[in-house]
Amino acid sequence: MDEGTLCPNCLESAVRKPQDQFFENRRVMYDSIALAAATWPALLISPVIIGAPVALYLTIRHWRSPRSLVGRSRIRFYLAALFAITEIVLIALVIVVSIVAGSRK
Amino acid sequence: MTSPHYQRLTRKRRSMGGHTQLWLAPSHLLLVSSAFFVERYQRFFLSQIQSITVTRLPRRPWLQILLPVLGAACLVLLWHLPLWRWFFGIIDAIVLAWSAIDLLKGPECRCVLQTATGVHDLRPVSRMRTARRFLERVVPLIEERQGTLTAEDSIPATALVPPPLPQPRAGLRGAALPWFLFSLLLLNALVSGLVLGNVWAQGLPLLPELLFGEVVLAAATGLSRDVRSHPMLRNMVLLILLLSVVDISTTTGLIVIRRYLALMKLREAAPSEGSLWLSTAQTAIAGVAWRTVAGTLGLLSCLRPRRTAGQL
Repeated sequence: MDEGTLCPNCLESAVRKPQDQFFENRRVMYDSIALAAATWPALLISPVIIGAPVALYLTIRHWRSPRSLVGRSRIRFYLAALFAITEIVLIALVIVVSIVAGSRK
Repeated sequence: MTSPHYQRLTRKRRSMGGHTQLWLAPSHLLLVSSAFFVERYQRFFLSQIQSITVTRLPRRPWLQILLPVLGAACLVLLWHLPLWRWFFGIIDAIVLAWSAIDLLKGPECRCVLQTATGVHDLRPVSRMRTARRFLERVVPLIEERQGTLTAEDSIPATALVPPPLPQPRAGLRGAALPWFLFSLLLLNALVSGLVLGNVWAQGLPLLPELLFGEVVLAAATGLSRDVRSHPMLRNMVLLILLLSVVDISTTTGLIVIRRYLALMKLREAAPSEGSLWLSTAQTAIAGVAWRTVAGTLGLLSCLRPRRTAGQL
């Protein structure tokens, strides 16, 4: 949109329920949340049990959600999915190894 | 209405938990402010921009003196405290890199944009070099939309009324929490130092309460409105909170390990009592050092009045 004229009511409703991204004044960056959920809990190891599935869920759920207004690739989603899957595989391995080791005793 | 194609005008100006950046569309400027996981957008139409004011800010010689001093202090601590070698090595590298980058970026400035609706601080334009590039890019586009000012259009300088600048954020002289926090940091450093030096061994039982108070006060200060509107101080308080938690947990962890080993009678297999005590003492020395630096810097930043665009 170039400079147009809108009445105050139209402007208010356009900002409240933006049909056009021109009226958007905020966006949630789900890709950053997913990446944070996949990486930060890994620093403390055990919270990965929650963080990895959350990251994977956010990646799938918001894959098509609008990203930044100024253009942003899906690299964060790719990384989040990669980390989350790796963490889940590692958790599964640890559980399997523990069960096998326990049954041998 | 289609989505405009945005071109980057400035680099990201990062702060703790976010950044700001300016983008250019065919008809407007877009100011993107990111805080944690949310981006906020402000648009300024090229045809509606009334003025852009760039003010060069004074240099900060104190920063260029303080940072190398801090770097040298870290280097000394790094040499004398083997357990904290990595910690002080990283801090030293950060401090020296910060000092070098600050020098290379050149003089600072403040950029204010005025439209009919108000005056807006363009935070990403924070260096003179960036401001020059920004103006070189934007002014021709504004002139294309609004026409060039001729001699007849121009107003004599005496008739100009300066635009009302955004209100400078209040200083922190009136805010009590940062003062308490930085004073408590210095007090904790003093008590720890006296206990460590065996000058006042009776102070030892006081330390857990004082350190706990420090964490609580740092959290409360970080959440207070005065500090949240003061980016440098907010970052400093967050860093203090992080350091306090790491420091306390390390000290407590070492003490717990020592007691556990004593309980399990594994002293032969484990590091000796002496080396554990030494590592705890090193942690305490490092604690005294960073608390003294943070407390002094914090009190200085509370005393120092904030610079505004009007001040040169």
